Amino acid sequence: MSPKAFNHFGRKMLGLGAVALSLSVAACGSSSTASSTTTTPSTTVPTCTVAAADLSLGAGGTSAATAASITGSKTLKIDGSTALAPLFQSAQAAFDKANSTTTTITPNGSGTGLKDVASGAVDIGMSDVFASEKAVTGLTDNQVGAVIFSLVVSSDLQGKITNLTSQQIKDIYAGNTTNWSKVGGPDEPITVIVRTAGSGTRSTFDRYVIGDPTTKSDQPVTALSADKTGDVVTAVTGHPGSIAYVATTFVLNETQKAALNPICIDGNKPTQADVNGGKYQFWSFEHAYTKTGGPAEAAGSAAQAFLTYVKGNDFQSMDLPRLGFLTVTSIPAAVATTHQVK
Amino acid sequence: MASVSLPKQRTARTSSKVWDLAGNIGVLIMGSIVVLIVATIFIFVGSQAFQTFTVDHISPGTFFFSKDWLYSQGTLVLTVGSISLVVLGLLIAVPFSVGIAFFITELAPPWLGRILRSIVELFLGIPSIIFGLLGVAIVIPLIKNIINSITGDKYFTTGDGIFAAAFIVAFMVLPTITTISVDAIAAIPRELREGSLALGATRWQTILKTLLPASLSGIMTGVILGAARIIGETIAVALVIGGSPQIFGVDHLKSGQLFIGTTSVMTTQIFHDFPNQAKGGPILDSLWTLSFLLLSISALLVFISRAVTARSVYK
Repeated sequence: MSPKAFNHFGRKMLGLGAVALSLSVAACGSSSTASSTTTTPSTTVPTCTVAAADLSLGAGGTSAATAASITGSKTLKIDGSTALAPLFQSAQAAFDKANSTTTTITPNGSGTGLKDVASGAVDIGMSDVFASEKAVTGLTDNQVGAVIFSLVVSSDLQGKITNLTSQQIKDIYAGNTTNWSKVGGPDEPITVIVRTAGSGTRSTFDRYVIGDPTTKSDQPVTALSADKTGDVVTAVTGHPGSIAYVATTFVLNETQKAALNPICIDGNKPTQADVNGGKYQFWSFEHAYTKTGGPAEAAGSAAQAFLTYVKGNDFQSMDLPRLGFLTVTSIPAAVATTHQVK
Repeated sequence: MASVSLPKQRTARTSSKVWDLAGNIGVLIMGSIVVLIVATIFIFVGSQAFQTFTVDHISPGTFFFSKDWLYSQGTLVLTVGSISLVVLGLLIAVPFSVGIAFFITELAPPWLGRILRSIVELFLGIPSIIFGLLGVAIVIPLIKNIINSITGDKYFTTGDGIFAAAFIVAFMVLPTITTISVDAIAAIPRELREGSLALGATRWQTILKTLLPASLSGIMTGVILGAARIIGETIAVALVIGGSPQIFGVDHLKSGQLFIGTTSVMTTQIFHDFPNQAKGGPILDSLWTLSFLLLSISALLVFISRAVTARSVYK
């Protein structure tokens, strides 16, 4: 089959997929019956489309904090992960109001969070990755939630690229696949956008999508690099034919929704159902680290009161779903163990 | 009256002496603090910088000549990128700046020259983030549309890359080079101009054969300071250069994107990677080495500009 003929065929297949989708909402997963009625090329992937509504974890709410007995300093310093920051910023307002404390939250990246909490510069360090992955020791892990990540494509690919297999993703990120037509899309070059080395999101992508945390094949030579999630959003908006990875909490954000089109991986969606079913691997725990034996771990410290509030039922059941975070308790134990890094 | 005013004068004199001394000491302290700060910066950055070679055992050969930054801390892409950016930026900026400088001093009526000069000086105060945003909003789409319509391939370039960066830094150094050139040209004695014109040279010949050579060292000072600004510029460059590990020229030739492809420079890499390093290690140490390299280049450029200024005939 000539490439052109294949391309035409590929588009036809996609059209069929779209029809199948409009007929059946449950077209996700292995139920690719519509495409198997015709002779299936080996590259065909299961039909799967992520709708914006799929990502929502429910409306949730905004919890109120109750006054805790804080005997130590009333100032609390937190920095680290940009992905976790929105959740803690939501907690900050209620916490400060109830306890007359002064909490400062600086979103400056997981690496900085781990470094600062280890050196004692802050009370709590927010991180998307386990401290052990960054070889930082002497910290106590508080898992306060989990975040689902998603591969997203630019808006010109909306409806054209809805699902990629792990192998296709590996080929794209290794720089072997450079045109969308090779993976069933339009004849258009692929612009890969990566986070800079050391980013928690990039580490999670390497570990759970590429399948190798030490991979060197996660950045094609032509890839654009972005420093923060916000920069990724800008880059995807400005580059037709681009692919990137971001936390779904950002996809849920109204203002960014239009620019980011989340896609399925191996026919699995970045949703709570597929995470809990053990099918979707691209997620990670969110950590609030404190220095083991440090002042932030003393009874009556502002940091302990803050963590108690954040881990409490009200905050977990209301604020987490509203902001797109999974609760740790909602993840089945068998699935959770697969993402605990020792 | 005199008997009343005399003691007053005496006290005033003694107190002014005290103030004089206090002022001298104060200024001396401030001066030494500046020296101390500069020395501390060099010592601190320098002490971190050599760990790359002494603690991490990265060979200088790998550091300077490997293109694999991420896994073996080679900086070839970054150093070549920085140098190329300086060259491309100056290639765009220098003809413009010198042209504007001669227009202001020689061709424009004095009132227009004054207005132009204040406009150019206003340019100096524009924060670099503004240039970066203009780059993203205007320069990148413009390059993309123009080049893609020339090549007839609507996906040929995404617009960002070294050309966009060079274009932006050229605008940023334009006021520096222009104002220094204007001063250099204005410092040329009247006799030279008049002599040239008296010999029958046209205005154009006077500019090209007399004024340009006479003001060249002054112009060079501006160019060197411009180079220092370009090599140190961070945010505006990081926003548009793309940050990909492609060597300028070599890798761009393969994709047919010579002069316009994406690459990375020293400042961009430091800016991107520094916040992500949780712990010391080869990458963090290499970032310090890069910083020291940057610091040394900037210092060297400032020294060169001093030397050039010292050699100029008309000041």
